[in-house]
Amino acid sequence: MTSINSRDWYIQAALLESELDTTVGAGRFQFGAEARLTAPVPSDVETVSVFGRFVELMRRKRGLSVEKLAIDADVDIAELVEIEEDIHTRPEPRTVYQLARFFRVPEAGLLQIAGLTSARDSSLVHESVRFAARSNPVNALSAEERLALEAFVAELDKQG
Amino acid sequence: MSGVPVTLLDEHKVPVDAWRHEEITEKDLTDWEANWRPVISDLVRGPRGANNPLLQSRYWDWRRKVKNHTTLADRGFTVVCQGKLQGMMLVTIGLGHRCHLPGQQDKDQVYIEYLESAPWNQRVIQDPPKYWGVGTALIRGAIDLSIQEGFKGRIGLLSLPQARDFYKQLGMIELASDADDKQLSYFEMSEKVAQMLLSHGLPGGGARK
Repeated sequence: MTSINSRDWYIQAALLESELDTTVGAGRFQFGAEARLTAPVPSDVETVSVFGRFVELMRRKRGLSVEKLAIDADVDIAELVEIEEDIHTRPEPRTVYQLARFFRVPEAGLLQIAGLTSARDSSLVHESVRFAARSNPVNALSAEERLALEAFVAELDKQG
Repeated sequence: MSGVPVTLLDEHKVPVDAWRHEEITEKDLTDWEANWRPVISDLVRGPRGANNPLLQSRYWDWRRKVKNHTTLADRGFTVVCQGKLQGMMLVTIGLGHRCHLPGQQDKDQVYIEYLESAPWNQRVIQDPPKYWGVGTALIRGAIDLSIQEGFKGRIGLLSLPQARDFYKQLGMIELASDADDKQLSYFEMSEKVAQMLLSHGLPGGGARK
């Protein structure tokens, strides 16, 4: 019984990678916590800003600062700031779960809005876009924002 | 800083020496920011990016991941070739990650949380990749760590369908994780397979003589 030496081991492994139709370690598509997500994910850049808008409005509706929400919902404050301010942020799945529980909305719907799962229901996507169009990030939650938020939450509840 | 020598294959399948280190340093994160991120950002913004389901609108934030994984149970790994960062991995030693395979049920494992190759090493982005074998060099690091910790090579990870074949080839066993999650595959390596892998190489043998 011969033992394989290290160098040959790595060469074999690399050859195996090259012979299969995939690359190991292509990151989010193959490994780890984010491998929980179904794939492929459709183009969803718009829905990420919707998620941020939603979080912001739900927070303001409760009169919470970003810091307070981070503490109460047990999520990372830096990530929360990014979620609300950066259109290109994709949140961690755990963060979305925590926020869904804190805001008492269905997790599945919020995951979809956060761009973390593929769109199973186009009506939620449509509602997301309408919500984004009608809501407006200034300080006070206007009556229109409140209505928009309520309609959006109702749609989320339908998914749950 | 010393590391473990590993071997990659370049785009012509010629062996190339590289190093695997058991930590993610500030230098690595700077390398990631300076060299990986711009490539991914350009791709996402480019004509291939917008509606390409294989490219997402954001990259993993390794700086944040490292910051959030600083307990004694967390371990970071990198693969560096010719002074450049080629891959990174974050694992958890034990800490609630237990095995499911019969024969090692409930035993501790090294669990692979995140693993990413540089964009130029990913076939979906560059074909042929600059280097083959970065991912497996990192997985090997997880197996070696598992042995060092007394877990006898037990490792676990989650995988999407497109990578299933590879882990099967490696000899890992696929177990369903959540009943309602059809796309998720949890793979686990048994002690026996780990031992065979390390002493005899890959089942089926990638090398062609």
